[in-house]
Amino acid sequence: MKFAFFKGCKIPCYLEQYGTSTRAVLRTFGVRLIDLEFNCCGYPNRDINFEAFILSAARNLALAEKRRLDILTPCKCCYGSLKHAVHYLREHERLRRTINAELAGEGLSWNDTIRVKHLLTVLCDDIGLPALYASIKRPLSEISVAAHYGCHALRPSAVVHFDDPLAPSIFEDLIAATGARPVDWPRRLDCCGNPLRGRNDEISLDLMRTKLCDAEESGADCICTACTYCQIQFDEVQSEESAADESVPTVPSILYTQLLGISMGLPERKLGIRRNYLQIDKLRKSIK
Amino acid sequence: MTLPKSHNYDPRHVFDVMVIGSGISGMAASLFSVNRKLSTVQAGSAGGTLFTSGLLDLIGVYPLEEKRLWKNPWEALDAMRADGSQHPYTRLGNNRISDAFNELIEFLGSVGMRFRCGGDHNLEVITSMGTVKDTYCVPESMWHCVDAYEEKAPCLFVDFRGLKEFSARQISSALRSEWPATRTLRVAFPGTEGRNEVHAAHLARALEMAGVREALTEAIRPEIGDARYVGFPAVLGIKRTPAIIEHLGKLLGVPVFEIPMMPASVPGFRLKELFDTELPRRGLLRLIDKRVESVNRTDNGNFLLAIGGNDETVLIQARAVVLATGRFMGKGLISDRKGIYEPIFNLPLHQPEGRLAWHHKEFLHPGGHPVNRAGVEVDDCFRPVDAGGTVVHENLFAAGSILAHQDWMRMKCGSGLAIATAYAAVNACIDTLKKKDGEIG
Amino acid sequence: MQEPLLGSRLLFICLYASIILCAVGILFRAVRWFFINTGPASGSAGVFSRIAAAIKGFFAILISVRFFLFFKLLVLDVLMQTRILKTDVSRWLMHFLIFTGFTLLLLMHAMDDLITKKIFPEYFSTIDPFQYLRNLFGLMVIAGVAIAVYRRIRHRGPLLATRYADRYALAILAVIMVTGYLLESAKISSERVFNRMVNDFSAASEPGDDEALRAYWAREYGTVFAGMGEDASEKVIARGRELNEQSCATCHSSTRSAFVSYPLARAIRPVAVSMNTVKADTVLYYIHVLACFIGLAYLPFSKMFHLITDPLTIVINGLAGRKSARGASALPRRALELDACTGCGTCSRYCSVAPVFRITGNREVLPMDKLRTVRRLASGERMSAAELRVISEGAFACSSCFRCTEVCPAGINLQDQWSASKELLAERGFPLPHVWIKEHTSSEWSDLARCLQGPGVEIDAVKGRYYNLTGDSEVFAHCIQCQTCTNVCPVVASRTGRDGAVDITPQKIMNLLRLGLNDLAMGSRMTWDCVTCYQCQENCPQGIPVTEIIYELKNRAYARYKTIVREDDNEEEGAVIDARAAMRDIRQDKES
Repeated sequence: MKFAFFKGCKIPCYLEQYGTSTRAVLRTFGVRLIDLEFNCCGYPNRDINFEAFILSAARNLALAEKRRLDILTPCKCCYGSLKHAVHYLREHERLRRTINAELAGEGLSWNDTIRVKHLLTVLCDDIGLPALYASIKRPLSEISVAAHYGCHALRPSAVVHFDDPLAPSIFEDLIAATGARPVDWPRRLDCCGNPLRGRNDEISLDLMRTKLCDAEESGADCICTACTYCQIQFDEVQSEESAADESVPTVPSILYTQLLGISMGLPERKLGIRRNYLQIDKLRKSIK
Repeated sequence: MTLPKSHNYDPRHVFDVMVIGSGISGMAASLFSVNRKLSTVQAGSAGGTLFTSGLLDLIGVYPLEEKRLWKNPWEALDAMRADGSQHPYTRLGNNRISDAFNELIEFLGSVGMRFRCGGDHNLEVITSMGTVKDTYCVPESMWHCVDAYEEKAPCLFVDFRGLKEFSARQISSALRSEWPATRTLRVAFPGTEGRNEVHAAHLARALEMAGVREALTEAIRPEIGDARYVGFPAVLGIKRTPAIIEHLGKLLGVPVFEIPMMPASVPGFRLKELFDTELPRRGLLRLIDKRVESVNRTDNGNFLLAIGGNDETVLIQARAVVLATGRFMGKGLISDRKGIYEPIFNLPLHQPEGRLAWHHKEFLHPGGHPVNRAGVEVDDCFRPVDAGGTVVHENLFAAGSILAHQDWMRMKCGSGLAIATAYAAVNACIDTLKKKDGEIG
Repeated sequence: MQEPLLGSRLLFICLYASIILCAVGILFRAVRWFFINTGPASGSAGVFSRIAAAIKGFFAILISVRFFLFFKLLVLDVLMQTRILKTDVSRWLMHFLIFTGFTLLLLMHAMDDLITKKIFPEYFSTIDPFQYLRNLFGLMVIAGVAIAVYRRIRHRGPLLATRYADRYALAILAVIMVTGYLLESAKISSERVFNRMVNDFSAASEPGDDEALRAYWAREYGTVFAGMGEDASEKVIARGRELNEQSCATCHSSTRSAFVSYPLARAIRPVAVSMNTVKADTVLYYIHVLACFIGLAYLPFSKMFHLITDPLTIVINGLAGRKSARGASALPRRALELDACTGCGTCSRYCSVAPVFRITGNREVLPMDKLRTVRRLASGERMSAAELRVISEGAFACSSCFRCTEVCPAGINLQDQWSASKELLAERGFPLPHVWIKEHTSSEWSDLARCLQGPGVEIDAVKGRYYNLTGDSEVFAHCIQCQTCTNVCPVVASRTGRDGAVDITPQKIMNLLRLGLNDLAMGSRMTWDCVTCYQCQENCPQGIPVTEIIYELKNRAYARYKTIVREDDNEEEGAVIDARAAMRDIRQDKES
């Protein structure tokens, strides 16, 4: 299996461990990740300019098309953006013509020949749960994990086609594979608050805190994410905030690839768990 | 057989049943279908069950012209049959209707939303308008409301600043003559101080957190006095409602209950949440916010449905279809100047002759308007039939408010109609599928 | 060989003047690093605290045991310029040729008295290998300059803009090199130079020897003698060779090893005699040397200053890591970086949000242009509100991917520059649109738009758009105001203080659209505080794309409101104040 690896803007400098752990986990399943000269997925500028958003995303799609590779992205916001672009380009012919004319300048074009997949979909459907279960060397039966779905992969379902938007199960299924216990928590499908970071910090933090309270009350030892922005919010931002406000419980967050990597016995050097700002006490022993 | 999941279903899979519609009847049909181990797919909008109050009516009023209220709903059904009414209920015996209710209530109870039925009589619940409503089944969160009203026990109604659809004082004053021992209290919901507008669902979700419940009861406890019950607007959590009610009761020292509100209300959210999360766990594949764009039939009589789809249209093959798309609001029926249509199968409809005959001259005519009885006519197996009584497709069934000869809003029979006809349609569907299997085998 | 010209007093004065100018220039620019303000809240750190911080940082590096890293940076990044090699081979070749060729010329040729002679006592500029190497190094520089010129023509455009500084740098290099070659070829062919040397070094012996040496030099060395015939006999040549061996060869390798100048000398033969008459070699010498002096004196103010700043930046940032710099030491560091940029455009080519530039045409999106703007901001240049608005748009389009920082050949921590300049812009009243739009209520915006813009702007805004969700009633007409969107909205639910709360709810936005009051929806807090979680859209029983509508409202609000303060492009920053004054008037009108 081979994919163009769409890391997105934040992984190289703010969340390197997501890149390395994704590579490490996928390599064990024989998945090859190819790096292309992608640009921003367009999501950060969507508020301001629709066409700029579509061109950004379309250029990435076109780059992957040129290499005839499906795109795999570990970031849910990137996933959502690319899927939205596909949706709009399919739906609107005039937009397609304009964008293709712009891309033609550098020998690219969008012809809808490749697919965009999120990491979790590849793990669950392309690699498959049986293969995942078979790869587990050290089931993490001691911890309870709250799956944080992340909005932009899940909704709007008519565009992103990720899972049942109201009752998704893919993430819990994947967590169960590591031996950990997925907890049912009322706010599992809610937003982490990161999109409002720097735009309205008060609301952004309130959304995060509410989820943290819920995760804690529901008995979760940690939150598990599969999105760059969500992880930054629950890890870096939470660690900054928990230092400032003690009334909110601290619930550390771990990337799914790290969780899976631990249970597969992959070395810490690849998984980079110590690079996370918050550590999960119960997992300390398991990190190699 | 591994059932397809929404993130990886195989488009070549042939489903036993496709349910079109996601209101109560669509959800009930899906439940009955997955309970019978049929591979089931459902298409419909996201919020079909949102507009339910949480109360499940069987029947309240019959005949409409007399506005007769029945203490015992089963007697009303018997009367209906005796009168030769064409109401869909008359195609079912009381036992089957009762079985349908039981199966649904058992399901809801097993996933955390318990109901209490009056059995041979309707229960009386107070509403946010201060009126008393007769209904067949009430959810656990409103049990004490029925008891308190019956006992006319001293009771404290609490409402929240900024919650516009609910006024404790209005309820109390409307009920003063029959239930004088009620007092009211208005508090600011924790964390919303200074807001001039709050929303029921948000309060409900906030109450899922223990800290919020504790803060709320702090404000209420000093005001309890002699009250033996505390009544809240129906905002006591969307998930984990039983635990929340128990916790609140413990914190306040007296039992608490919810008073139903106008739709879309929190109990509607609860039902939606349960159907949304629990049915897929039982194997239902849901295609949410998808329209059926076109229908074809394969050579062996299966339906081939194109489900859209702004940009992606999926083809679903199903051996039978249960049509539960509702009436005008659910877009199961559409109307123009010339008449009423059924948009998916273009089914023959029972409808008034010409647009002029749709409504009575008096807007508040006690018998309701003819257009409110329009819909699909079915046979005893709930298969749509044409004017001559011929079955349109042997593997197409209809359930819920799309059916003709009923005015569920005025007759107070919406939930029961939805549940009972879905039950009948799915059972008939099984018979048809078995017959088909037999033909092949 | 005597070089009488360098001894001339004028040239010495020029040399020392240019050295002094260069030194003073460098000092001036270095001191400036501690004075200019390059970030938010610069005022809080005084000049002395900046100097102290820089010295502290310097010693911290000194005592840290990172010498290995230091030498690695020095050799690989500074001398070998591997940072350029990573992104562009042809540019690396260009740069490497110029840098290496010029440095070696400087050391071996220009400073021969100071260096080469000390190492090789037998050094003469006209013997091999020095003569050959000089030609080789010169050719390297010329080839590098040629590649540079070719690239600038071939790839010209927003990503590789050629400005005065680039033209000057290439021109001065070209002048020095070309005059150098011309000078050498003029000397080769000059009879006068030959005679001078014969007078100085040749022991005139037998008659006819003079002729023989001339004949030999004419044939072998390419000297052009006025009126000399072509037909010297073999015997005369043999004698000439003999004489040459005796007197000249120790200082003169064959001029053929000057593999550029010799062919050049052959090429100018037809005019050699006249050039000799007008003392072209002396003239060229002056041009060559003065060009060098000019280059030296002007170095601190030209692009060539990067010879000093880039190694500094590469080493300092290489040792400090790429995390954002904080505190007083950040300010001089950023100022140094501003001087280190050569405008090579690599950052812009790798910019992750370059598509935004391609659609909006706003050059302030591109890192290279942004850095020029940061330099202007730091120098305290006054800019109009309209201009700052454009700058802010570009600055906040950045997705913080660090790619520009990764690829910058000068090792500039561009990401740090961006975060500093974004904060600075916010300080000056040009923050993210999500912030400045919320400074007014939606009705204020709607009034402002009406007062300061004519009707029809909204219609213009729709033109050319691919989507018109907010103007097409088909999209939102089925809204039944059931409040589901509001009930599932986490932003409305967010239990913040009164100031943080949203003004209207999603379902009210739908209602405003149905009433045609798009203006009120566009400027609402709900629109700009939308967290884009798509709960409303997913749960809408009527299938209305609520979130997409809110996205479009933001697009439109931004396109429209950003022009409001732009009304008067000629105004200085006062334009914002004008808008605020208009706002005050509107408020007063309402109150009265």
